[in-house]
Amino acid sequence: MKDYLALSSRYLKAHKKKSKLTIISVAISVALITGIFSMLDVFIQFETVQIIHDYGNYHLALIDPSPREMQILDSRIDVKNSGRWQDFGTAKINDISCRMGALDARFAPNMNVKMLQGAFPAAANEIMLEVWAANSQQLSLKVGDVVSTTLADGTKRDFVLSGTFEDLGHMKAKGTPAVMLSPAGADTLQCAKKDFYFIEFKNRVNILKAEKVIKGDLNLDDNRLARNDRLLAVMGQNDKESVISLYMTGAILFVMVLIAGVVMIYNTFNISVMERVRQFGLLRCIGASPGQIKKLVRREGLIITFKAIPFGCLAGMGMALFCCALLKYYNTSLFGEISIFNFSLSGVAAGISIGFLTVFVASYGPARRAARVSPVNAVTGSNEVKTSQKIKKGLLTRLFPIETALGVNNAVLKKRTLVLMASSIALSIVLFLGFQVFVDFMYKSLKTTKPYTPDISLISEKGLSGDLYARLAGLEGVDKIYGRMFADVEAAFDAGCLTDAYRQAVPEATTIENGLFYSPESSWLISYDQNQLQWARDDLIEGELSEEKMNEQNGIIATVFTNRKGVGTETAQLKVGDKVIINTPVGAREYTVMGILRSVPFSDSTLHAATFITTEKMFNDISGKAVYQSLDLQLKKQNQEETVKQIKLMLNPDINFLDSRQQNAEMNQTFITFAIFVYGFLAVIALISIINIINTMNTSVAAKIRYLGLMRAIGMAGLQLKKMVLMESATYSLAGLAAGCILGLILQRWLVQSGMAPFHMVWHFPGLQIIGITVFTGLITIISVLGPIKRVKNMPVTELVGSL
Amino acid sequence: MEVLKTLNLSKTYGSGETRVEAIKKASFSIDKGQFVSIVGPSGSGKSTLLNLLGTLDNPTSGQVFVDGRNVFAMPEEELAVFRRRHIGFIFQAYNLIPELSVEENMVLPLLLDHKKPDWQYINELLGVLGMRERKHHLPNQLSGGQQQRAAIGRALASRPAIILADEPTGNLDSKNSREVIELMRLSVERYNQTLIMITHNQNYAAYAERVFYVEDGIVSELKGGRQ
Repeated sequence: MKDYLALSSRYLKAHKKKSKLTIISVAISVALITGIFSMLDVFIQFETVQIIHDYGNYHLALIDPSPREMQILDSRIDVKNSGRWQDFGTAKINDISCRMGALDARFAPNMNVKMLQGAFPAAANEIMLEVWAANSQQLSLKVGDVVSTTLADGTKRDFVLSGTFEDLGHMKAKGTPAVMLSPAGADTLQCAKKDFYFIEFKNRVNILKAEKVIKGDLNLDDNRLARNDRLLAVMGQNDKESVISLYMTGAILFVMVLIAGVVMIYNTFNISVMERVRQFGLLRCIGASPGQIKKLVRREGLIITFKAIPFGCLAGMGMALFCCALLKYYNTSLFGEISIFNFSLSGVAAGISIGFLTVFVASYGPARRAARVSPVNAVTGSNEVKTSQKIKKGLLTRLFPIETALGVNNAVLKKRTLVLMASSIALSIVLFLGFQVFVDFMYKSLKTTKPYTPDISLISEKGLSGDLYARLAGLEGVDKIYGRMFADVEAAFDAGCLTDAYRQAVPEATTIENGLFYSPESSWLISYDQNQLQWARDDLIEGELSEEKMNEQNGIIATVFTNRKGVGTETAQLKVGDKVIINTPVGAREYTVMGILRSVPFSDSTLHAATFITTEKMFNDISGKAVYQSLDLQLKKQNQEETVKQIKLMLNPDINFLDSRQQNAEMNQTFITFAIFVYGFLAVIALISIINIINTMNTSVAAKIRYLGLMRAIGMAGLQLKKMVLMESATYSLAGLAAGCILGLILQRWLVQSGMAPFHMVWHFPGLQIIGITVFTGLITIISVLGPIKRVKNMPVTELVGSL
Repeated sequence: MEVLKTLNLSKTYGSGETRVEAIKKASFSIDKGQFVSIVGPSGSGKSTLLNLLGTLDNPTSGQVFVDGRNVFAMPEEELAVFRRRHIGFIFQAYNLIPELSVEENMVLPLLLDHKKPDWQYINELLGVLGMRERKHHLPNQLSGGQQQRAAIGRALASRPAIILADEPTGNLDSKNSREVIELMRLSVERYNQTLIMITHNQNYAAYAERVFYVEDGIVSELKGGRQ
């Protein structure tokens, strides 16, 4: 030993178990930081790919560009690629409704338009088509075929099919093919169009600055330059209020993760220092100055950090790697080019630098405390319990059994330990509740498929026969089939239920005799079978959804929102028990509202006064119709293409075949990309919390081993010992739980109401989460004391007391 | 030559009803090379006096001069340096650093002072203490007597002017106790150091040139010297 600072490494070597716990604790914190930063880094990479896939790879779009403007934009040095997109709206191709547009060939890859067969249309009389449409029964076209089109303005033109391109999920689901003209062909059309010039900037261009310059140079109004908001947001180049508040919410949570890291390490160091008050005092007796004690503690921190950082970084990278692997496994085609071994430099750099900084900050306090240890206290041991001026009435010992009272007392007496332990638990809870906001955001803002989302929909205005239903249901590859009937019915109810919004929209709606109302608009009646009623339960606000009761008691279900021009509008405020009079083929009949649903997942082009749902039997009675107009099919996972072929063979030309599978998959994909990371973050936080609580409890019991030995020496039984330790831990947990829940709820509410305000999210008291957290904390508390208690029990009393 | 002097040294703990006067206006001086023992009943204030002399605790009033310097006038950092250079401690519970060997424990005060140990002197000390064979042992590998010898070695390693021993034989059997007392006496004689020792044992107190008696915080001299 050449230097007194070597004492630090000697201490760590001599107390391998304790040192290991400390190193694990620091490594966890470093892993948390590295993990969060790496995952964020990787998340941005994946999300960028996802957004480019969903919305296109462009940053800005100039609306209604002039040739001069296009030329100027194209010649800018910071522009990587640019191209024009002209949308001619709905048209017809061989009498099938389609969407027509023209896109510059060089920008097609940016907009995910991938050629499959033939060539990109170049001549004025060439078009290309989605492959599913070209192969459909109705069109059945080959490259080189001539097609006749009718444009929105009624103009008829013939085109040659120059090629086919990859299906677009949303067009395929609607059953409306996308048709692309050549730019030359677009120039020859005179009908109304939407015209855009898309710009993709080079890497590392300050897009917001470039946008300003472009606006200035071309003298553009604000409404002529549109942004690809999502892509800019993920690139960190969006100053939109909603995106900024999202960044802010993220930043707050990240700062909290950092605080959690610092508190965890501080905790560990503090406990380790408190254990050695006597040793530090002794060193002071033999001449160590307060400065030297500080140096000793900091040196210890440094040694621990050097050992912990590599582990922490590796673990953090592991978390990111796991997310990458999961996503790549889920979608090889989209994320195929992203490497699983995604080394996030920023993540590791953040882990190392913040790890060191954290240890420095975290060891500062304990070092100062150690330096303040009075030498006389060390040799007399008089600082172990501070004498309070307050008289101790021993209330706890009178109220509870001695071991319970002692456990609680031990926790409460050492205020600093209580605060540190509780704050560490509380922080984990606060983080958990905070991140839940992102989970809610994800559910509310990203569309996901529901249990009733169909793979295939068959629609026919003439109706789909029961025979077809039975044959489809009999197909081996069909998992579920459910039909719906729609009818426009004359329905009247109490005029007082009509909303002001509806009265304004439809001034003709007036009150007639008996307090009922008259409206020129009919109401929409939909039939649900048992399955659909079951699925609708999630949207039920009031009443019940029972097929049996509705059939028995002439019941119908009302909805809060009725879809008008694609917008859910509250037209009437009906309640359970209200009467609705509907004109049926056998005259007006009275029905009772038995339930209220929020909305229905369908829309109709006709405007309706209200939307009602009823059973298939009641529907027949009310409308006189007995055939489905719509059949939704969910397919089994295997041999889907074969099943689709079989279904197509069963259909007449008047039945519309809508394939939503690609769109569903894409919707799920978008959701999963986001979900894996949000849940990944949550999992990391939960995991870290568990290990942190276990580690802290372990350290705390380890620090008290001689006290526990003493208790056993004076006659405390094993069970009493267990109870005492458990009560002490439970006190820490309870204090942490209470503080964490209160602060977490405040943070969550604030984040939802301020940070997420632009997304119109509503904060609800997270009762289930609180119950879950409470149960979880309880379990962890029990688990965390099991190991240490076993150790204490197995140790001979003499050895325990000997460690005095 | 006077090495230590106290003037109206007082120490009071608590206030109001719980006020305890542990040391009441103690004034005395000790010369270089003297062996002083402090005796008195439990709770009389012996340890408090020793802690005050060793600058481990601050007095409520009064002064302590070591080598003519008013120690409590020094700032904390300076006092720490002064302590490691001028005062050595020997405790009843040995208080060795459990992670360090005997030799390392002995040289620790020197390392804290950024000094290179004089290995010849340390070896000589080890020889005097009969610990040469045990110098690489950890404290928990030693008997109580051996641990106390190591603690004496640590106190002597930096050649302090004053050695303060608080019941150094309290945890030892009579054979080991005698040996330790003999060793301490031998050492201070050999290196001309001042030894102030608290003891409950009248026989060991008799080894000293001067004996102070402490009762209810009042310090009086039973044997030798001047007060």
